[in-house]
Amino acid sequence: MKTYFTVILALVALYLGWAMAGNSVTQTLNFQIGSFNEIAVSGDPDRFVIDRLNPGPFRTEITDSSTTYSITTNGENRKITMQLDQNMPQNTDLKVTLTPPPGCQGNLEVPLSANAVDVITGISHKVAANLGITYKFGADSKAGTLGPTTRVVTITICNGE
Amino acid sequence: MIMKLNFWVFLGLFFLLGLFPARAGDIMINGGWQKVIGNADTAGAGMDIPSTYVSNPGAGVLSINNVTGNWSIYVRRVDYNWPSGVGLALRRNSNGNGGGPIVGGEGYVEITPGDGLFFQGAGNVTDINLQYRISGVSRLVPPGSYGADIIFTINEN
Repeated sequence: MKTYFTVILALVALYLGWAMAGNSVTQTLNFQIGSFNEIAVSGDPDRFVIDRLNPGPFRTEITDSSTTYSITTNGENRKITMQLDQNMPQNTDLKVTLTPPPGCQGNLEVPLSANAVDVITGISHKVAANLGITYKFGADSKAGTLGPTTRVVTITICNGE
Repeated sequence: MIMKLNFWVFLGLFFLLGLFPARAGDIMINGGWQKVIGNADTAGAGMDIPSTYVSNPGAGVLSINNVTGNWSIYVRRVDYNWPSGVGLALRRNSNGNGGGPIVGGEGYVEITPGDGLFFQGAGNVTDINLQYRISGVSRLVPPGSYGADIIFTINEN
């Protein structure tokens, strides 16, 4: 009798499971996230004008902190490099300091030239807006008189490795 | 002897019922959604990428056939390489054609690994439009491809 009862219970459970099982259908959903590395500046700095050079060994320097930059990246270990379209005139230089995004490493007063140099490193998954850019234009007494000249600064966010 | 007879009668009834099992109905889905979040989706430097993306209405088209009464649609997901913190939801954009009234599913329903009730209705219905939503995307989600299987189940009530 116990055996019959067990068999009946098993059959009932089996049947109920069969009767209640729903039909299913599957749809696959995919999404893809690309690599975002965006950087922008607020504008151009004011013109650097030196009316009179300091004499002798003393350099003349003027700074401009009127511009900012903003950055968005979803990448790992990115860096910001800067370079000029051509080197600075002899006996002058242009240095830059960028305020680093939180948690990133910034180099101070980096001399700019026609070769790209690292200004900020260690940027991962960052969004930051209106971070400071400070340019320092310097000339020594040998610079003499220079007419108006322009340099284009290229700021790049790229792979840090 | 009586017990033995009862057993065979039950067994006979069981298999007789088995010829006419309670059906769960047929469910079909067409369409799909593949979202590529690229540069066109960015809001510019200094702004995080938008967190929410929705498919077109009718990215999925659901049809229910071979039902005789009321039914419920459940939905769940099986992830493969789905980023943590990113949510997936869907909603119903239309009542479809045929059948009785449909209840629920008009607002977004979060799809979880466990079956959740999506909507309920009655009778055969075709062309119920579905819309998907991905939320919680940010620059913290690494570039890559992500996906999930969305599993719809119909149960007749």
